[in-house]
Amino acid sequence: MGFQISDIANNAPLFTLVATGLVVILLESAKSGKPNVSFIVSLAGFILSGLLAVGGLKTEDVSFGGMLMNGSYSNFFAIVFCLTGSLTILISKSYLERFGQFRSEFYILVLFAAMGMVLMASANDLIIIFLGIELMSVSLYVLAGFFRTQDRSNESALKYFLLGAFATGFLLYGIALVYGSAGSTNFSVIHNQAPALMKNQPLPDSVVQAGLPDSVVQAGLPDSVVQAGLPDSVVQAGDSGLPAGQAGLAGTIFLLGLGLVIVGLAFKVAAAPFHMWAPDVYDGAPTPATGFMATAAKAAAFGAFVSIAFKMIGSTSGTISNLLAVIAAASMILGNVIAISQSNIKRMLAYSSIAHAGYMLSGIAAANVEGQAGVMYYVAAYACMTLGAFAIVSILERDDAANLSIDGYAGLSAKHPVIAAALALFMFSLAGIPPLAGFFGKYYVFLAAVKADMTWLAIVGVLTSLISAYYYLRVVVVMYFKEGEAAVEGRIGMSTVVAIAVCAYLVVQLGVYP
Amino acid sequence: MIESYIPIFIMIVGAMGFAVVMGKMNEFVGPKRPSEEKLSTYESGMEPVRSARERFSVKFYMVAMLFIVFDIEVVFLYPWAVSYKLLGTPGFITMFVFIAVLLVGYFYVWRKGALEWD
Repeated sequence: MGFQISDIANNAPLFTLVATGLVVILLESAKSGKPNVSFIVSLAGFILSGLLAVGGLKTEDVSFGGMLMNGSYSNFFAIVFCLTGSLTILISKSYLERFGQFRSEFYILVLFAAMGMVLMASANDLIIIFLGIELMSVSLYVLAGFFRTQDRSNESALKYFLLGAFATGFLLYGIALVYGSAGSTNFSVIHNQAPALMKNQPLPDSVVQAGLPDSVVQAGLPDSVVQAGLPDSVVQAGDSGLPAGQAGLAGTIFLLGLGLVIVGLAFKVAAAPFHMWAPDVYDGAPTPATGFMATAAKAAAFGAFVSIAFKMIGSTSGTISNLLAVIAAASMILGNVIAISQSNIKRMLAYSSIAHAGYMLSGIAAANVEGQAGVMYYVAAYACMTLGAFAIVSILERDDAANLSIDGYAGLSAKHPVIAAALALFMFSLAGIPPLAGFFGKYYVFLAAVKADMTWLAIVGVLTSLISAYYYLRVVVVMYFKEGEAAVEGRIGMSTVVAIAVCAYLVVQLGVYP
Repeated sequence: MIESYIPIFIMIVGAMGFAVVMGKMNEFVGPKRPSEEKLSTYESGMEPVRSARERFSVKFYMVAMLFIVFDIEVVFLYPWAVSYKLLGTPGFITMFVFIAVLLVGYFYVWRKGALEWD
């Protein structure tokens, strides 16, 4: 089982991030306390990696013996991660300086988290999904507790770590059960067996007798995979060896395993009823890290979710679709209703992120091509608008964290009209007001739900986004129509301004030219 | 089938009997002059039962973490060494990259002073 040059070329974005991460560590070790250099190197690494991902959009290939699938899908997500990563870095500079925590480790952790995210999005194997999730989560646990002298930050890191470890346990147990029933962790192999397992039928002969490797390959792997030549080891893994009589049991185990995998992933995207960690963690973590968690980590979890739903399970299963639809509806209702009563803007955005996870999940529940495209579009749109909102929160945050309340934003428009206008733009987009990105994201996702005969889900979505308009617009009202003295603490960093501008541009751009 | 386990059964019974007989003989025959020191679980060791709420220096955690990292490196090195010929050049390159990545981490840890006790 060797590897080819093409494996490295296909995964150029991933390896660029790896190399940048290692270089930043070396720089930090060689010359401690020069975070400015790390800042520039990390930014350059993210931009280079993003450009390589743009270049890789056209090629479809598998690499590392069928473990990774590279193509427009994985590279699209890689672009999103590089974008959010570089924006996070831009936002973080002045914020960390202000809190006296401007250290290279922040950038190292963001780079390693992004690495895990790219792995998750390009995974073609459950083990790679697990590996990516762990790499991402462990970095994020530390990022959440980056302000190690602050109790809130420590609390957030500990909560995230304990609950995250628990959720990972669910995920891993689910993977074990899926492996036990399907006989493989490879998406393509499981995909072939999923229809039979779902209907509790005996496995098709070609799969059961797959001592002959070719029969599985020809049984219906996508052409690109066949042409790329899966190594024998992967193909032989298709030999589940379960006798036909036990197929009913295998089907039950398969569904159970899928359920557990979905629990693990639903935790990572903070969908109800696995959302409890999100508000506390988002509230306590340093604001740029929160923005990164809320956007990139969520995008990565959706990258894995969509891979599992479409590449592994396929669109054959009503059971899984219904399960996802219920989770989606619960997240939309719960997130939006609780967000109304929040007075802290970071907690409000956390609940809003739960609601948005619900919108995106309804695209996955629809289980059609429109749903997949809708989720991908939504992920990009959501990343831009939420990161922009967190960027502005990070400017306004003070040392004592008193300025996080929404009422503290009163009178912002009089003092800093540009910042207020940008925040208003992000809020409008999050609420889904037409020409902006957020509207089209919701439109595509709900359209997919309607096409999949899940009109009720689309209705729930539209109604709850009406509710959401109330609390998003409240921020705008407070900023523009209330007297107050919101003030920006200290100087606004140039890099943060650039980041906000990029976010605002993308929100409009994605909306006007979808 | 089951008969072939009889020697093992005899062995178990013999071993248990020997242990019980020797222990009890000691109790009956040996002289007894107890003192407080002698009655403690480890005569010159540490106290076995104490409050669990004790603070350790963070230095111990650092050492434990570093130990795990480099211990796992060794865990991967052994199977690689055993099947070195089978894996050939790709295996060598993979392992080289793995060790290089760990080396970067080692360099970082060293320069950050995590290896110094004081």
